[in-house]
Amino acid sequence: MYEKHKDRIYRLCCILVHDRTQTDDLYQEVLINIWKGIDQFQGKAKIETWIYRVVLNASINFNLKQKSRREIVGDLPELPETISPEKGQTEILLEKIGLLKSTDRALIGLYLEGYAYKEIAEILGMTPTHVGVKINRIKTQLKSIWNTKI
Amino acid sequence: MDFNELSAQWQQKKLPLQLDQAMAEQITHFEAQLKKEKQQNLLLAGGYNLPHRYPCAAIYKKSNRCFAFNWNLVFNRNTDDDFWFRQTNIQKSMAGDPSEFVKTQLSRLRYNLLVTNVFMPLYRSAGDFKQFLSVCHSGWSR
Repeated sequence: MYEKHKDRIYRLCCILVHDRTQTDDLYQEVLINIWKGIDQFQGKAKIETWIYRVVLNASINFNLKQKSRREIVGDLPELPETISPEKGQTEILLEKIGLLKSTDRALIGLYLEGYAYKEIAEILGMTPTHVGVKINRIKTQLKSIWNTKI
Repeated sequence: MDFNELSAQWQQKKLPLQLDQAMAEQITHFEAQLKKEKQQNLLLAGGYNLPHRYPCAAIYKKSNRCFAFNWNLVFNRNTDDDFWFRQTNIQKSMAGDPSEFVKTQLSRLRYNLLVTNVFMPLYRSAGDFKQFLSVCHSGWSR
């Protein structure tokens, strides 16, 4: 199961948190939650649906924890950028997605993974129509900020 | 801006497992150290981190005492574990039953060790892997 889903889980983690270090930490958190919860998985939903719900829930808790930690210790100084290659499309995409609201990031993340509206709706607890409307809005928003420098 | 094309490109993004040269050297160094400690029967358990697979936590015994050490500090990682260890002077020690100690300490160390032990066949240091995993599991599944 790990081999099959690891890359998808990782990509979703990239979208749901802000930087590389946090992505790694969230990734681990997700794997633990999957391991802890797999016994309770009853097979009512597809395993993929269950896994990506775990990812989303873990990211919510993770972001809350990060927020409270920042409040305790303050923001750490920014590390210097070590690499500044020409950004590829996916890097730009990730950067722009980082500007979206967290719920929109989850939506577009699942959309980019190739999920149908119905599946996204099932994972996020929305109706497929609502998912379609939101995805179209997010696409419009991304198009409008695509050439904006951050 | 073609979202189908972007989606196809995005799906090519893989979990990075490549280490840079400096980190790979560090890991080789610490792996050698862990191996030596295991041979000397000082090391009870240890784990590797995902996705980079560096040693991240270790539980040692010495003169009937155990202590935990977080290798994340060595690699200067910012995790909750680091935060906790900083607040408790990096190490904690206690006398008594090692398995009790392991249970207590793993409430903090669990994510490094668990992920490693369950998902990656990289567990290299426990004297009795099965027993260790069972201790860990009982501690985690309260």
